[in-house]
Amino acid sequence: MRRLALVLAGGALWLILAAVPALADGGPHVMTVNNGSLGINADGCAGCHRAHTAQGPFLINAADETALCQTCHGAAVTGSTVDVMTGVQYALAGRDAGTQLGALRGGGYDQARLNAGDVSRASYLRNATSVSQRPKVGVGAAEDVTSAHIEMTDNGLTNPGIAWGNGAAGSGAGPVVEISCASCHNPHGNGQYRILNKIPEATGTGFDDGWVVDIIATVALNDRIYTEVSHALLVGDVVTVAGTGTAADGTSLTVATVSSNYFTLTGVDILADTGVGGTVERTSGVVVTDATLPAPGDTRNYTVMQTKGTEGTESTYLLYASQVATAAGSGTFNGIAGTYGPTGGDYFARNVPWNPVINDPTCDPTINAQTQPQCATANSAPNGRPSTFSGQITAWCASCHTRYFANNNPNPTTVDPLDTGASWMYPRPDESLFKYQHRTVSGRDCLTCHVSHGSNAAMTGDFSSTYTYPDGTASASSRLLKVDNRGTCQACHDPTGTITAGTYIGPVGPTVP
Amino acid sequence: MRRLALVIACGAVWLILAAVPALADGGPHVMTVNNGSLGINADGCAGCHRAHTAQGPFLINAADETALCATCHGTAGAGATTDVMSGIQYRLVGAGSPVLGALRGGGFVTAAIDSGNPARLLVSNDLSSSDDQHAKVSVRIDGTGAVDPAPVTSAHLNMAENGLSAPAVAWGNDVIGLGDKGPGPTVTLSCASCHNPHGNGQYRILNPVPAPEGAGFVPATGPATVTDSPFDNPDAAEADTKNYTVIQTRGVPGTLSTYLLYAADVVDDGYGPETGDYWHVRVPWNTASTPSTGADAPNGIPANRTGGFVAFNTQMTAWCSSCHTRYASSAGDEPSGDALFAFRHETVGNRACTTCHVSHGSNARMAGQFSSTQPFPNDATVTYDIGGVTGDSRLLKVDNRGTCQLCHDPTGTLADGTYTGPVPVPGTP
Repeated sequence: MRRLALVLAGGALWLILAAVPALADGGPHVMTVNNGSLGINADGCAGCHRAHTAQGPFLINAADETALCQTCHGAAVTGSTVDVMTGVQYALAGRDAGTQLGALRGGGYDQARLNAGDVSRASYLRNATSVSQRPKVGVGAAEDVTSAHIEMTDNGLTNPGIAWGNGAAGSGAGPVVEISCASCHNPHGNGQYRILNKIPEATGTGFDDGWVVDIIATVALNDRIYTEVSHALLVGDVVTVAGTGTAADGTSLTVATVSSNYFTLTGVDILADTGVGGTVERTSGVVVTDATLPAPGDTRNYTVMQTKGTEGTESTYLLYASQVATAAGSGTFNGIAGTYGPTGGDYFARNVPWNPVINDPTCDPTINAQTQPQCATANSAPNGRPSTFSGQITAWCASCHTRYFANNNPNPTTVDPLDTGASWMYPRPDESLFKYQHRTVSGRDCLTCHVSHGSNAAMTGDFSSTYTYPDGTASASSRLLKVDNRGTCQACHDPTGTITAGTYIGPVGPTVP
Repeated sequence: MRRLALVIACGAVWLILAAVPALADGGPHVMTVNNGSLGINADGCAGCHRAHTAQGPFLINAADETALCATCHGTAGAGATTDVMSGIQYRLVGAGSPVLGALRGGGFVTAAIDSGNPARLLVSNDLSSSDDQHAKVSVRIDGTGAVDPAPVTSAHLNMAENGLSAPAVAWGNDVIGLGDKGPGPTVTLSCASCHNPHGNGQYRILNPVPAPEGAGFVPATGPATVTDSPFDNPDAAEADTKNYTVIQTRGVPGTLSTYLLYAADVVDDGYGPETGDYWHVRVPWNTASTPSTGADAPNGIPANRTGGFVAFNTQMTAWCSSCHTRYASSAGDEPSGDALFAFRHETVGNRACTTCHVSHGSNARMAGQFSSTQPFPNDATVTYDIGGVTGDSRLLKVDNRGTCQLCHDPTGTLADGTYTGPVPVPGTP
């Protein structure tokens, strides 16, 4: 009888949730509600927790976190406009297929809609002599994913379960871990972009959630603290510095300025030049700034549609679902014509707009781009902050994938510790596996090449289908890449040096965004 | 444990590479694949590069370029038909595959140049007719007639495998005619200094502007193109793998099918691996040639012709001169204005760089008193032991200075028509 009651209760809960209309963004995930700021009377707790009859750890009302999240964010439910399984955002929580808003930036855990096999690439002169590329990965038909951050029965994937690159230099491929939705996201809200945990956590022996970088020198003249490799610190980070033997040593220090291989601290006057070393540890976690909450009744835009705006003026960015829906009907946003329907958007988002020529034919790709300021593109900024999003999100991904963050490494052939160069030219010190690496700076940040949830890119080539993980095991996994085989590389690179400016490759009639 | 894991990982990579079936010619080096023309979905990048776990600069999956190239083009590599270490092209990829022939460039570790048995028919004992001689440098074979490479005595790359340590100088680099520019800058050379491994449509994927690393190296101001034969074998039933050997026949200019451009052509015409001429000043070696026919043409273009086609020799010499700038000469009896490279053997027509020199490595032996001690342009004399003799062969094809004699009898004492060389007279090609 008790079991029957439980089943009935569970079914009742299901019906209740299914009937819940779309709440203001983020539904039950709003920080100021759940932290009590708006009063000690939050209701959302009851949506996910049971104090005495919970079905899963942390008193959740489902067998596990993933199952709980899927009650609203799954494929056949109606609790949220964001379906992370199918990789789609709906215009309404009613989930009418006819009301799709667009494809989700992160792809999906079961299906994704990256047009991975038919990529656009437009070549242009980035200066007087050098040719660069402007790529776009459009939205295509729904396909089963070939890689996902979480393996599930739904996607049939079997992941190695390793936090690749986590840990200090020389610590191997990475620890075995288990991750779930809450490893990355705080379902209670925290004011962060996509409610990302400032310090993402994975369950596993050996997983290191710390961010520690070796210091090689301090300079009194300019108060700079130089790190051995690029540090990924951001202005405002709180750090602990130890072992320098200078005024920089201390806890709860705030990063004032940053460059690739040095930083300064607020209120810290370096009194002496030293080269004795030390470490800096970020203790505050990584801030990834979010845009202002949408108005009541509206939700954020979680799709791949972006437009170039004016930083500091949020209204010039496609931040909210209402804006996307309006633009889909009118064909324009903020004076920018484009395709804003469910198939609109660019998954690659290296530049926004991906090709300025489409809306302004006067932007001549065969003429030095630096002489055409009206054609300048912007960094990807789903939060409306193009100057900081790339650095923030890369630092966040590197919280787990520690040794993937790369910019400048020391020149191994000189004795000058301040002589550094690109990580693709100079190796990471004391590291045999993550040795030479593609830089992960702006325009080449993690999300330029990878989606976060799941990708449907196909790895059918001889090399791509047998590509080894860092631990040496071969797999046809797409590694969350956005393009078939190694088209991701070709999106930016022509190593033959034979493609001329003005060359377009890809589907006929490309559009923006 | 970590080292073991790394060894296992490397072994896994090797097995993967070794198991890769022979790809169409070019393998991963095809321009139209790697530049995206055929779609932004190339697979070859993953064969050589790692974005986050690379082991060498430029994100390659090996400690350095040479090691990477050797995974397919090395002695134990199974990924390509061309073994540039041994100086041999095989018919098929994989151990035990029959030999197609000896590589034009020789090899970096061994080469199969019969440098001690050149053949010469003195057509005209007149200095002005030196380039009329009929000469051949055959493929080195053993007693069974099999191709028999020998250790090189010079190579464009110093390697542990070849034990060479020639001065790493780009001899003659820099502008001619401006006085004392010295012997040349010290440079670091690697495979990619000369070749673009991503493909570029050029003959042998040569870089139009070769540029080795080195302070003071002066790169060419403009590209030196060397036209390649078509990527696709016009016979759709046959593989696209090109013929990289010294086996050539004279064709009809403008009719590419009359040249042995593809490996399948060599097989179809029944030429054995022991055939071919390393001297290739004319094709075939024993027949008079004209300005428009019969010159060296591994790309099927022996001479200039309408349509913008430039003779292979002309393009090849111009390319070599991109680095070895002050070696290019149109007249050997006129001073250049350079203090060191003052008078130079002309390098026009069939006196192309590749007439006298191979590009990768030569097994010619310099045992003679003078040949063994000839200093480099910087006065460095190579005195280390090279295969039992001293003397760097400078990539020449014939022992000592037999290279000179293949065109010249400076004594003027031999009658026209005099043959010198192995008996029976070598055949063709």
